Amino acid sequence: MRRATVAGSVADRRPVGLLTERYRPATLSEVVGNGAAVEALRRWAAGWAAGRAPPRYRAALLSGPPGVGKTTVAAALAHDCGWGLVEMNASEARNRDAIDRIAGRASVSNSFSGEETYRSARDGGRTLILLDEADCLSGRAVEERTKSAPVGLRDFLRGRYGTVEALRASWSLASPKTPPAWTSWEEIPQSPGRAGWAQLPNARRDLELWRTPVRARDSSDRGGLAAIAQLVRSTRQPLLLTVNDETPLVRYSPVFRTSVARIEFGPVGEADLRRLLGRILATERRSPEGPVVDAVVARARGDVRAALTDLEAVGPLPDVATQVAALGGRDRATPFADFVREVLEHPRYYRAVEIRERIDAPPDDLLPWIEENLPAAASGPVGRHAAFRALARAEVLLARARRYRQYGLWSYAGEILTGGVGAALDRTATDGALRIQFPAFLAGMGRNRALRSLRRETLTRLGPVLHLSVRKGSETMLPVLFQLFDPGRPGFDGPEAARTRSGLLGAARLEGEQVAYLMGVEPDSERVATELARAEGRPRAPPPPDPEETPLPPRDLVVALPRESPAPPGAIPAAPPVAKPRRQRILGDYDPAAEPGGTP
Amino acid sequence: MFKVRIRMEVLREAVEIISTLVAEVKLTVSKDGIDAKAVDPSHVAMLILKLKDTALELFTGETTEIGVDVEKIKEVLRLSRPGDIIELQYEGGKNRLVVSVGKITRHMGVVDPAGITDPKIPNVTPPGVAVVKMDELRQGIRGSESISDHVTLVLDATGFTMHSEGETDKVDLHIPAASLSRIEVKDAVRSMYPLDFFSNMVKSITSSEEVTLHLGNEYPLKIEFQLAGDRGEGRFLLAPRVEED
Repeated sequence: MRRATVAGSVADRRPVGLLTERYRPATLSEVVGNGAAVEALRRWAAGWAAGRAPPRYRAALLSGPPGVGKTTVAAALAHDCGWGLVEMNASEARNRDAIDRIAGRASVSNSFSGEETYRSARDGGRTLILLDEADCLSGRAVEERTKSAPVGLRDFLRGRYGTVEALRASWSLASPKTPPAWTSWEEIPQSPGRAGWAQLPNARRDLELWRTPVRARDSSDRGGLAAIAQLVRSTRQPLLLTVNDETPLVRYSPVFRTSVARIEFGPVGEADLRRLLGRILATERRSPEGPVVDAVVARARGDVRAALTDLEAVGPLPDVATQVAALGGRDRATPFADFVREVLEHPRYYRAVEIRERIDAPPDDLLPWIEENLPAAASGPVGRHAAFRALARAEVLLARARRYRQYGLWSYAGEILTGGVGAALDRTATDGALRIQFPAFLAGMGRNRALRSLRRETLTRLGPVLHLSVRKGSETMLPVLFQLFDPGRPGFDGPEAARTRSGLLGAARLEGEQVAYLMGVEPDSERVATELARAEGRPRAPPPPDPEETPLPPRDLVVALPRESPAPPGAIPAAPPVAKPRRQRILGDYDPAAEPGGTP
Repeated sequence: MFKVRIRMEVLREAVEIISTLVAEVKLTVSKDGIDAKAVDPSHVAMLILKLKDTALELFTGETTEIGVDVEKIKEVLRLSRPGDIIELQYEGGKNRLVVSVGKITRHMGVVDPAGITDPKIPNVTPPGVAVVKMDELRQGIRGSESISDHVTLVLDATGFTMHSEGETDKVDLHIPAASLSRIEVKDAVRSMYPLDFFSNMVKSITSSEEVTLHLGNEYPLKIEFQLAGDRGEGRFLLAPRVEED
């Protein structure tokens, strides 16, 4: 949902909510850390506030790691300058069209900032346009159409119906008198030509489907960068872009280097972070426990949002020891970034190897770092290719070392990974401009850690019921379970599906959190409660069927359950097995004579 | 909790007007009618809309705020025919709006009104006033649309002028003071507005024959109109373009 924040509303300190919301700075002076960057931002804004002519840089680009306050600073700036704020963040559509419609319109027009009196831009009533996470946009102006090879009619129909009998039934070719009485797929042509059967109503519908080309789905952010590049040059209102990494923008268009005030945010210093935490603990009337603050600060590594989230998370835990344990203590700080820079900037083999020997980390840990930063370091495609070949060689050795427990291979892998890659890079002059990125792969793993542990827990509990290992379950059973538990699927409330679910739930002793994961809903939602209640009430007789509902024949459970409790007295007795459950009845199911009004 | 019956034409016009600015709107439904306030996502245009109690065929229940997806209401309206009465029924507990038209009943989910911005409408009092016929305004817009993406509105003693200028072409709609049913202006006033908004706003007003334009110098435009005869009224506010020299 769009947060159409209006300057001023950020200042409201509501007594409820997350720490990150409650202690979000309302003004620039409250922002912790990054003093130089904030000062640069102030100067840039002054250019807009002062006179009528827009400043040289109409847009500012705030870059820096997550959680250091880039977005917060934007809202605080709008508040300090008395500007309105129009915000587009990553959660909404930001293709060319949406950016033109919202940011584009706001950029050439005055606006209503939410104050009592209207002020034009000339009188300082500006609107700050904020494009959050602008690096997560695609620059492609036009999405490539997926060019699927044309499918022959025979293959299309086979995919649609499966068997010739089904096709004949659908096209009403069932009676042998109606030509053509196809008996095998080979008899069906790949193109309808002028055959008479092409005029059958159902055949015409299928042919139309067959002829409709498959359209690629609209990518949500297509042309987004192009629209932003245009905005940066032409906006008549102050424009702020925030990014974690400015490379995608700068690579897309030089305008992001030449026409934009680039302001860099860095991790917030430990001292600043400690002061902030101390202040918050005092306000919250929580006693400042030294070891807890130490652990929070160490884990945060300059990320204020992470620090506050951690502080909030450990709050309810009983004692200091548990809190520190939950935070996982101090991570070993490895200067990977500096190390990688040195490796990639020194093309000489032995220099690179020597650096490798200086740091104490297994080559497995270094590999993602080198891999992430290699493309930017190479001077050209030849060097990049050679370097990746060396990297691949190292990776093969690492895999062997792991697999056969031959850790002697590490020394070879380590040398190839550092010296080999460095020498292959063919980097003639080092300009020091290399910016070392945190490996995207590791960042992703870090982000979805909670989700993975939830999945593991769910499958561990289901394992004995389904006779599956966690891994096998994740590969084969999870998609099926997602479908079974998907509340949006037709048939979700059907008695069969509900019974299967409650059977699984009871047998595997799944809890709310895991049920919520399978259903894709919040753990405290009503749906989860319903499922759990149904699972617990399982031994009791099922509720009387809805009189409106057509009485259905009882069906077999899809999954055999090991914990079948004996039917208690009063329960509906188990019905004899029915041949095969059928979801949709066909007209043939009905005996015309039995129907009221049918022919006797 | 409420139940409202409303003529299809009235609801359709109100919904068309709202949909020029927003996709989701917060409606206040009470025995006095239906009220809506909206600001478009770029904060350039605003709307205040009021359907009086006389616009409703029936109201029972209590004053309620609901958030509605405008497109969903439009879908229902497409199913209805002129002259139909549409029934809106809202049960607070179920968070579901039930819309019945003819033999069709549609249940639709509602949007949490807390998530929709409640815009503060600024106090805007432009000095110049002109009452313009809708036909003439529409014609002027049609003339401008191929020329430029913005339009300049001028009001002076000679009358009302709508001026649009592209790279090579320009077009003017001039309505002399004598043909305006009302004109109030001391010094000439002039402002430039985004044409797409202006055009959509004017096109969405279908039942009024005249609208009142309030104009100033580089100042927001206020369009006052009536809908469903005199059973409803509304105001659009449109901020002017930022002019750079």
